[in-house]
Amino acid sequence: MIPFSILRADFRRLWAGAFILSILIMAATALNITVSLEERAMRLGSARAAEPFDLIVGAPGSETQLVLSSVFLQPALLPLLPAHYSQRLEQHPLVAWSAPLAFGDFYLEMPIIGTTGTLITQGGQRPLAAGHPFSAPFEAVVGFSTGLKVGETIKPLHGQFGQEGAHAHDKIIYTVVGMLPKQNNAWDKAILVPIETIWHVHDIEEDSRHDDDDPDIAVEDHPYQNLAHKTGVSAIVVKPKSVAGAYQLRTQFRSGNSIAVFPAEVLTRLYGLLGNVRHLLSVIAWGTQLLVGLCVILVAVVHVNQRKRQIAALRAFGAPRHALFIVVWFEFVTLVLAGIAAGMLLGYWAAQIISTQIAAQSGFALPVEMATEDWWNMLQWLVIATAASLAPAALIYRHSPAQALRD
Amino acid sequence: MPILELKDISVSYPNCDAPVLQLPRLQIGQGEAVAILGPSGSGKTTLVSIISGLEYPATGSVCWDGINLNTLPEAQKDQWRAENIGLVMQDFHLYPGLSAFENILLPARFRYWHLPRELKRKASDLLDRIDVHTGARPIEKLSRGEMQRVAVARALLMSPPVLIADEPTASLDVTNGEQVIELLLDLVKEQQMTLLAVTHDRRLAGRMTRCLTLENGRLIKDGVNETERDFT
Ligand SMILES: Nc1ncnc2c1ncn2[C@@H]1O[C@H](COP(=O)(O)OP(=O)(O)OP(=O)(O)O)[C@@H](O)[C@H]1O
Ligand SMILES: [Mg+2]
Repeated sequence: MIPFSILRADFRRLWAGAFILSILIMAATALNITVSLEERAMRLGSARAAEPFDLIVGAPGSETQLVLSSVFLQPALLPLLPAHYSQRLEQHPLVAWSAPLAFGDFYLEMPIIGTTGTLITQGGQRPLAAGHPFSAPFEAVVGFSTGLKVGETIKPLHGQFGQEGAHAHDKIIYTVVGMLPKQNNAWDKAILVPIETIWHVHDIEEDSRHDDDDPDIAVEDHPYQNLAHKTGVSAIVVKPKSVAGAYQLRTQFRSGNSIAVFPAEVLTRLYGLLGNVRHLLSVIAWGTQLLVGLCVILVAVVHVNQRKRQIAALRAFGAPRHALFIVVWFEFVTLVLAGIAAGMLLGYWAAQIISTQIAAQSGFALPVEMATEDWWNMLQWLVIATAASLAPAALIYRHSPAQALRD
Repeated sequence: MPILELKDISVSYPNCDAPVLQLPRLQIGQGEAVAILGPSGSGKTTLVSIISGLEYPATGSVCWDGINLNTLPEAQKDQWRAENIGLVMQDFHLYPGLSAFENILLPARFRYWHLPRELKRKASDLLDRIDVHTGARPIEKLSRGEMQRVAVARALLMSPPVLIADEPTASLDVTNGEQVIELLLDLVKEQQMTLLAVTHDRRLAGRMTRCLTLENGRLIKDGVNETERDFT
């Protein structure tokens, strides 16, 4: 009943318009998909990154900064907590294991973090990808994506390379003895060394500074100067034995000279703040889709009106109305479906690219995953588009075949 | 026994007060070849629309072989037209992008899921007959004469009992016009069709068995082969 030759001829004749229309639909769909995928990727990615960190204890200051620095290894000035907190936590009856973190040194833009073997094995539970945990000063365990191999050596830089005050610790050389398994977060690019070595290095550092005749390079100018103090820790990662214990620990270490936070909670709060931005983004994406939808309907109506005479003539020659209706409808649906399908692929692909870029820059994995929600979303669009295409096609029923005979 | 019978037909448009067509009575017999003549605006095209069921008259009845078109629902009327009337329109209305062959088959394609092989054979016979050998070339790249002949062939594909043509030679030069006239008349004679042709062309009118002349929507002359008047 439906002459496919007509469809082929129409698409060939009107390909430019059809192409532009499907590109529009594709772009709007892709934008929508990408926004939704990236938004979810951010939630998933940070939730996963925060997973190993049940509780973090630090010196009084910004809770958000404490979480961002320890979970995402974002370089920032963190006030230091005296080292005895770490000892107290290690021996605490509610704690399964805990480990101190000391930030401040870098090697080729990768953070060097002072800690203990406990963190490396996550309290003896995590096997390494290669080698073994450090057992002597100046040994290092590297993240999976540092590009360093067991046996290589590292000359650390205090402060990030290129930053004011950055300088090499000339006499210090670490040897890589182990590699962490892949975690898909900032820790893949971290270099873990014994925290005592960090303290020691900065001792030497301070001594040599005092010998220097150059008072201009004051230690105080340095953003990480606090680390120069002996035996301070930037944060302490705590694995409580139980959930109840976690809450008790938080209360205990919240008072006085330390703060204790659940990273998951802080991140949730952060997302609450970002909520408006996310909402705005999705409104923009939906608005775009709506505009494109209106544009498509407009084009469709104009198009059907332009073909009035052609369609009327086909009827005069004996084509049934319903067949003409199906032809016109089918043409629109094909366009719209092609646009949406291409848009989904493009959106997914764009989200992957964006995630890969972000991961490459920040080491923070944004897992792009299609959820049932997305499929429903698309299904909904398909149904709307299919139904909306009925409207212009239905115009055919209103055209009189006598129009074909008149100019 | 008339094949077509019009009674008390009156057609008017909302923005004109006088009816554009008024025919108290008109009968056309099976196998007649009728020319419809008349000055521009006299209602010829309107008459074609009415008798082919494309338009409803305000009053009166159009009966083909006992079937009153006015009472047929739209869809059935389309079906009836597809089976009984071959239409040739003044501006062809060929489908762009399709070859001559596909254009001839197009109306039939809307009617069949699977086009019968005889129809395809008939389409290529018709192409031979009208002497159009343009292969897969799209119809819009054909000459006007070729297009006109393809339009005639399309009307004949289903061997309809009636052929209605609105100015089938108007846009053609003398040679092409004559060719089309010959073709029409030959085919009509062969298939014993009833032919109704609106025309300004005296050569065509002269070859018909009967001439109707309209003026201001009224039939002012109905006679055999009267083509003396010069319509411009
Ligand atoms: N849709 C319409 N609305 C109003 N008036 C119309 C309409 N269609 C046709 N008419 C008028 O009806 C009259 C008859 O028109 P018709 O097309 O039948 O003339 P015609 O004899 O075929 O003329 P031509 O030789 O120029 O083709 C004309 O005066 C025309 O202006
Ligand atoms: Mg006319």
